[in-house]
Amino acid sequence: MGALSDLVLPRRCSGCRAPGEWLCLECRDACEPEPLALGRALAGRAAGTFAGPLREAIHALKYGGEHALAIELGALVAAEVARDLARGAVLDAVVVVPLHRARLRERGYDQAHLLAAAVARSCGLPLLPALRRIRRSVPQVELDRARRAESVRGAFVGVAGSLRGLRVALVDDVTTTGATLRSAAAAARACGARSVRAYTVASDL
Amino acid sequence: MWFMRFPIDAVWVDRSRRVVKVRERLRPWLLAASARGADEVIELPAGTIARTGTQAGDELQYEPV
Repeated sequence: MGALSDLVLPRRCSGCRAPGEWLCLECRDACEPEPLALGRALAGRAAGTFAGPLREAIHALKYGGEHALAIELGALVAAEVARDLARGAVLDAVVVVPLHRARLRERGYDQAHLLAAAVARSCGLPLLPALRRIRRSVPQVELDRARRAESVRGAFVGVAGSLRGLRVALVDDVTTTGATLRSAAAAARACGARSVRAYTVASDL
Repeated sequence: MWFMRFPIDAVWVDRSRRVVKVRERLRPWLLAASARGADEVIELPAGTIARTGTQAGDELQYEPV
């Protein structure tokens, strides 16, 4: 499968265009991991800032439909998870911030899920599909525009008690306002998670 | 940067999506995680429960997005 996709689309570094990988070692080295400034309630780390090669790579992942890139970017995130584990953090499971289904249909794959799967594999943690996105399905004709937008913005729903007692690593591709991560973290806690740490490929905070 | 508290509302529903418990303006790190008979728990922006008047016994309709 990898060989076939190489024929169709030769791998080139998203940063420097060097052939062979989606993000070459030099461009990976240029990423500077940083803590995610999400507030006191939620600690987290990003593998780098949303700029340069990392930004190109995430765009390729989101809009280019490139699966293999998820594994390379997942490895960057896994390094941040491993760093925390090495410093004594205890994590029991990886939980992904789910994509809207409409976008999943349009793209055919969920890049955050691919990322999280790569992180889980690298760190030897189970990947738990604990959260989904929902919206209200009552007729909305009577709602004004602002309310409709709010209703469509979507909330997270999870299986009650499905994360009971677990220390969770929440994974997403990029965070801009932190609002989605905070919502997803709150939802994970509502599902019983004992603690939540957030990890992203890039931070645009 | 001063930290925004970011409270949330949480609604627990049973299998038929009937509300079994609501909790308003929970601070996320202090969430009470259980509700007897609950099948799913929904995280909502703070104020949603008050604005919509959602209470135990209500039946919710929602769909995946």
